[in-house]
Amino acid sequence: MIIQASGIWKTFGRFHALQDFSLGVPEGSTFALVGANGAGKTTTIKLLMNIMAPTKGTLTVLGAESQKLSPRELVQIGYVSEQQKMPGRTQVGAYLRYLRPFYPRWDQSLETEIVTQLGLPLERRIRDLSHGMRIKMALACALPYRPRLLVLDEPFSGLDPLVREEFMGSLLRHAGDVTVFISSHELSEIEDATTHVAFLDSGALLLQESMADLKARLRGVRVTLDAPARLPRQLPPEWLDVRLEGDVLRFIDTRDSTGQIGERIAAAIGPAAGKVRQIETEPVPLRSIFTTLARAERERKAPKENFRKGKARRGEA
Amino acid sequence: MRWHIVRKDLAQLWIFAAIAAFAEFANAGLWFALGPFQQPQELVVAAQVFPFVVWIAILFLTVAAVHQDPIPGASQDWLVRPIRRMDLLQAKLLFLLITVHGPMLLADIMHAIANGFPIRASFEAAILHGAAIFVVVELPLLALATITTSVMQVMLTLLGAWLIVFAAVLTGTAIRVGTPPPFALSGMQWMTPAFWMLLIALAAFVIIPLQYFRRETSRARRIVGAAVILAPTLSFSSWGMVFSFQEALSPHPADAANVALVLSPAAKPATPISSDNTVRLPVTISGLPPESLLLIDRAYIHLLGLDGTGLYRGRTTLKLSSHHDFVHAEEGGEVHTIQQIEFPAKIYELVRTRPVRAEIEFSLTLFQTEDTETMNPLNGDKRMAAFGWCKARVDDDGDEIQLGCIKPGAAPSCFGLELENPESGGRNPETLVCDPDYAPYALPFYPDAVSQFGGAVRFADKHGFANFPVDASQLPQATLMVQWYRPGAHFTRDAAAEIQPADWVLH
Repeated sequence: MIIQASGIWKTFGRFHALQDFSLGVPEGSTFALVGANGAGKTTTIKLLMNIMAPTKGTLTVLGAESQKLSPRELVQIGYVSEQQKMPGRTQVGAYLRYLRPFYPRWDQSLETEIVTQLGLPLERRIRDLSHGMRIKMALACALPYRPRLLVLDEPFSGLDPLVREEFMGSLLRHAGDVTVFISSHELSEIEDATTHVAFLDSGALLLQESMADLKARLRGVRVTLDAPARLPRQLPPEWLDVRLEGDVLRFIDTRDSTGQIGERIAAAIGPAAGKVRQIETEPVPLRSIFTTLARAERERKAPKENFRKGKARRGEA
Repeated sequence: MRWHIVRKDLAQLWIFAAIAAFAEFANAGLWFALGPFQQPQELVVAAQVFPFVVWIAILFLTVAAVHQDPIPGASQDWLVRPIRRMDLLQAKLLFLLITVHGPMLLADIMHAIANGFPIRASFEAAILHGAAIFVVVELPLLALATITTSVMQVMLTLLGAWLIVFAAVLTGTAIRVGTPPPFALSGMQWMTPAFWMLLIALAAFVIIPLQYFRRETSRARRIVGAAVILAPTLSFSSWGMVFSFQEALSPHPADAANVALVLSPAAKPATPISSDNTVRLPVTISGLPPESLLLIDRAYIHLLGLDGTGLYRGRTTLKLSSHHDFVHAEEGGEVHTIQQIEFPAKIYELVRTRPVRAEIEFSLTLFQTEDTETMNPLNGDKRMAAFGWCKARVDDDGDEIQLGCIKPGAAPSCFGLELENPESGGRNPETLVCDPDYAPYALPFYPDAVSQFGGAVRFADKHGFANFPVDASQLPQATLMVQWYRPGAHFTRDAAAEIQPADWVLH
């Protein structure tokens, strides 16, 4: 694993930004860390770049403890973040020239190619660049030394579709065999390139899986019944986002076993719901997987929260 | 890689560096132009302000250099670059050495050499000045810059710190009913800035590695807060504690071993004074080494009834301005002088007609002559080891001899000027130019590595009230004696006498 986190906690005062977070990123993968705003994605990245230190737990990057990342590891890591603050008074070209000597593997012809492709104005000061240009600039500063690990923190945030496409185009063209660790909530942009995904919600990891396994396991199911029916109160926990519209039942099955799905559905809905006329399954887009899982997690937490609030109202301990 | 970082910072900040260097050279040039007598007068104000311009330029340059790669925050690009923290810190220090201390060293040396001082002395003074600025100004500013992200934050922090310290000292003064910290106006006043300098240098030495190697901004800021809170504490120390410390620093304590001090109410004072609640007690001081000078730093009185009841405790002088009481050693080492005791009016009314016992605790400093030089008072121009290059002349009013000196390094804090006619043996009373400073070090801070100082000694009274043994007609034959005094021993003596205060007040 090029990144290995185990039992990571990050606390700011009384707020737990990350709770018992464990993760493994295989070398060569394109690993997407997905989560809503405030889920803890940026915190995770800042921890693995040693910009912040974890409160508890161990985190290794390229085999080194994150808190002991030295220039030896950093020359192999490229980092692009929407929040990245580069020296504003410096010109684009001057900053690229400044960075070159720090990276023994810096390829100047690759730099020229990237700069040309992204249309970066070398004479302009960094502070005078637009947000999109700055993100491109950050990418141009991260690729020319062919890093082993490329860490991208919300790179598409605030970018228009054209710039996104240019960014991804350049990234895919020049990344080569690099391991990419990307945090984003712009799921459609990364879906095709992602090989592994982890879902983060309120600082806790919901799941971590290869995209192939995830897409095979999670299927959208459409069941057509004989007639409009009522469902039993208790449905299988692996069914998420269950919706019944007349005689059509839709849900996302998180434990797909296509061979036995008919029997499982029949057993779950019971005889009262009538006969199953047709079952159709389809792959679920990453965006739907994420929203379904996040919603399910919130619903799972909600009863506990309500219970706690109720106890508090009644004055119980 | 440190040079690479330095080159990057130079490319960004060369304009600021050029301004700071210009300010340093302009400061040196301005003071050189003023010469020993600090003329023309129109330039003096500009010259006096210019060292502060230099310090402000240093502040901006230091802060800007550190803020090129700011420490606080979690978004800086340099954090994810393969830059060794040690290289970054060394690069910042190198940048400051090149942009601040390089021009400063050069300007200081040129200033001293232009005034005719040897290269070695000029270089030594310049190095000392640079080192002092580096430790006391530069490093603390660098430390402050590591916990901030803008010049405005630095300015606000400095202003806040100053306000807190000022408010604390004011509060303390108010609690002591208007009396400022006890040693603030004595030769021990060096301790306050020294304590502050020590505090800020220590804080800087902790904060800089803490920030560059661990980036613990919150902890570093707490250290700054602690230093600000600690800063006023010394001002509330007791006189006894502070003077004991000063006593322990005496360079030649044995010089004062034979000095004795006795209240001798048998001798009546001769000079009348106006205040009717000021008692004047004759004091006999003996055992003073020849050519020495004794300063009563403080006389603290304890007035008791004859039955031992405490009636009053306090400084003998209520006015803060009357703290420089110098006594010159005379032939035989014995001197008769007067100890004034100013009582608060209510206390005086209480004790004026009753016999009381006055116990006085004297805190004293014995100054020894470090060096004596003579020069021609009329257009004298002389280079002296102790005083540097001095010039003498008659002032525009025609009643004083003015002495103006330039010296690489710190100026002497206490010297006497005396006019003597070797042919007639006549001598005018010595004029002391003395702002006692008992600091165990002498660092040149202001205006740069070269100090300028001077004084004046009178030989005529235009109103005709006073006659001088060496008057204007004798000036061509006279010599101007310049005597440098250095504190040798700090010590205490107690004296007591039974008195009836009203007997010792002159109306």
